[in-house]
Amino acid sequence: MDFFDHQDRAKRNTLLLLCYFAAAVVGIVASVYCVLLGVLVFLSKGSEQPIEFLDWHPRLLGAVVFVVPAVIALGSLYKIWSIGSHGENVAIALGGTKVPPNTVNLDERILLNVVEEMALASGTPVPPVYIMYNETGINAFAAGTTPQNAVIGVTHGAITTLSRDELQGVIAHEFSHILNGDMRLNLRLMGLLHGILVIALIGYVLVRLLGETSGRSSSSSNSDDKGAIGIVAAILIFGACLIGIGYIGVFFANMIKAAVSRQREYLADASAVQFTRNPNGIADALKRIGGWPQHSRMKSARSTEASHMFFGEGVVSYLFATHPALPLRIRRIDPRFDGKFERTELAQHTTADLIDPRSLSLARASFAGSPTLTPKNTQDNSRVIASNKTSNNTAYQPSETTPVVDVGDVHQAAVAGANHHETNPSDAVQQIGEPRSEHLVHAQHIVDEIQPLLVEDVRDPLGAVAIVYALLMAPNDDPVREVQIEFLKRQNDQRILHEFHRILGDVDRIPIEQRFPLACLALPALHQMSPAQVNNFRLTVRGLIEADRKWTIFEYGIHRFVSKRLVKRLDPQQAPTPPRPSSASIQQCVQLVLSMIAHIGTNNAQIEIAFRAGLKKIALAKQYTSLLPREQCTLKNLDAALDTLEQTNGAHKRAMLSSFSACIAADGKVDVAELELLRVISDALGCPMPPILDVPPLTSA
Amino acid sequence: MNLMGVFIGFLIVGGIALMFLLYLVSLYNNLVSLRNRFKNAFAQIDVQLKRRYDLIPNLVETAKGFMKHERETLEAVIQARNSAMAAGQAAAANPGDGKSMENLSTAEVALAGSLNKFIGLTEAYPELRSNQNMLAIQEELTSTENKISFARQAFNDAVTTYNTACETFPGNLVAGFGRFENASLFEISAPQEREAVKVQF
Repeated sequence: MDFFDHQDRAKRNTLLLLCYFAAAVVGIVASVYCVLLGVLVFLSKGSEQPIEFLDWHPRLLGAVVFVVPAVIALGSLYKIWSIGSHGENVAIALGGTKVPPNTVNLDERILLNVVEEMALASGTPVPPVYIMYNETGINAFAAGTTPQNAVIGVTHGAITTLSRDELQGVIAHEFSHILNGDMRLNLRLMGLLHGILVIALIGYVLVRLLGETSGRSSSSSNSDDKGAIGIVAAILIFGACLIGIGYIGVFFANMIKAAVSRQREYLADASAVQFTRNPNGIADALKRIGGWPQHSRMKSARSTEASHMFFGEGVVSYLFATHPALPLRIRRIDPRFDGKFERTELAQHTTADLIDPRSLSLARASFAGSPTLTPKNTQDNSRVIASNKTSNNTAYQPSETTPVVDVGDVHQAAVAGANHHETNPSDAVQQIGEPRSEHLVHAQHIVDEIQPLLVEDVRDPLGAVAIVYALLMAPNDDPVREVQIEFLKRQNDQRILHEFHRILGDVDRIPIEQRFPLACLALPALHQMSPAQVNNFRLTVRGLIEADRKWTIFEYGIHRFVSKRLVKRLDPQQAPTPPRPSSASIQQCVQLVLSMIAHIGTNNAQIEIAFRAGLKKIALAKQYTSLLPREQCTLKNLDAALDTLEQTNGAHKRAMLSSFSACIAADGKVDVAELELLRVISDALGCPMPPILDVPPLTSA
Repeated sequence: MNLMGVFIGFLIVGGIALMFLLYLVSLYNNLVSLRNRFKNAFAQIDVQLKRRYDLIPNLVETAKGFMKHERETLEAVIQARNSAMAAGQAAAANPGDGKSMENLSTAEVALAGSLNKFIGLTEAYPELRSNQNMLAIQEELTSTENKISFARQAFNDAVTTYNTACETFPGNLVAGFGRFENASLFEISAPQEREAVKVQF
């Protein structure tokens, strides 16, 4: 099953769930109606017009049918709105503290490295990481509704007990929640549950208010107005019944929620194995939870309502367990598990854990298969050793000698592995959302390749800002660069300029295909800026891009990120959801994007061929099958088209992306501009793409 | 039928009251998340401050070999660094607290002052000025100071947003009720910058 099937399945589950939920609402409406009618029958006894229970009461029914669902809907919407689509709010509510991207604490650094590797490998933006320092159980969660606003939270217990491999398994599990869209599903579930709970709350308020006032009035005055007492009694009974109905509703809704959640956990466990290609990591992590005295329990009071987001069962409950039992989960991954948990000890992390030891052994295996590589080893080796040493000296005091030579091996082997891999750009679509172990090694390799100093700077807001500015600079000998630097001086203060000049040389030296990964690494630190800083950053980025009066794909990608995500994140309430596009407008947009890719990637003779190759993979109506002229393929049009295509469903997105990559692959080579364009498109569509493994025939656009 | 009207009236009034209650809850939650946001912003400053506190002993150690007659200045730098570090730890425990932020500001100003004096003294030692190690550490120190001021700006922005939310209507009602106290900005004003320049003839 690929990424899209998972997403479609999540959508089907939501639909099924909505059916169940609709049934529950009908049940609630019916019972409220019956109770209300019963109370009225009771009250009207002995009056001139007694109400019969079995009569037809259209006005009463109408009122109930209108009011009850309205109350539930209001309650749900309020809950969804108050939790917000923002993962950050959830993490903060659960008592998480954001790990600064440039932390020097060893455990935190390892955690961030693991998250960065998984994010780079899957092509998702690196999510902010939160640690819950008060929680000693072994647990983790992912929150947020889209990959763009997701966060990952980990308990303090998890980072102190899990080894690197186990932590990677846990983080992979959370990434699969992010990629599968589980968080959106969970958010809706939480909202709906709350909506039903509101019915019970109203009953509670009624009973409470009337209980108090009637108690007071009966003691202060002895007026025995029978009618009033009757009404009060009737309302009390009605309130009590509402509480009953509400809680029964919550009970069943909870069961539905738990059932769905358990299925998603199995799915995420399986995906974690698929992502890391290491069943032991996640299985061992689960076993450690079993052997840890606090298991995966959470102390935070808010954790009950978020129980389904966690890696392990956060709150002990049997009927409403949001996670399958540990032995069941472990046996699905490791069938030989005997059900006995060993006592979990604290893990001792060393600086060696900063890099991925598994990529080491895995890479070594592929290295063994390619002995032809030896000639260029020595040089690479020494460089990596050097970089390794620098990072150790500046950031940490190494407690023991790091396996320096092994790091070198990884590096060579990653190169070897890359050379082994067949290039087939149309594979790209298959890889979307499915990072494989090779991607992990590749991701590690990319991080290794980037200058170690830059990797440190990119984790800090000021450094990240400076690096993005440096990436947007025109080539060294271009007069435009002077203009840009002048602009920077006007727009920014001394400290940014200082950082900028410090790293400019390093950024200039990085190879063209690493610009995008470096920009991606900068994203988490950029989120640390305040609104005022973001605003200045946005203006400067725009100014730098427009200095030469033309836009490249790379510049467009950066700008789209800044204007869409960074700003949206600061002010989530501002963004309205656009309406679902019509079929015609989708097709028109696909036509535009395809034409654009064809024009960018190929020379005159082959434009039409590339366009046709893309068309073969997607069914468009007749009027949209002509190649658009170059003048229409502007980035402005592309931007609008991507906004539209973002709203389409999984099946459409899959068809589109396979069509786009067929168009790119038509001429048998992939250049950097094409690759960057594909990345920007897939990112805009919300289908993150792992870095395409090895692109040997690089031709600069 | 009249009774039914009473019930529906009840539901409507209850609904309005409920919505008002939910509105108050959302105001409260908003204040909590703003408070957490500025606390998280302080963590950024803290990382850079620690980095600088680690760099200063290296700087002094390097200079020691060249500046044998300036022991007092060197010790003053270390002293200022230690007290700033203590103030930093106290502030990190409770960011935004008026007293600890003030202590941190004072300690930082003192540290900046003694560092400036020290850097000024190094001008008299050409060998030290051209020492590669010294240059690297000084460069690193400048860069870290830039990062501190950038992170400080983000922190102050977050604190201002929080304070504004606490002071304006209707947030002030909830803030008073939920005991949200105003947070203090982290301001470092170098005393020599504020003073008017004295011109002597």
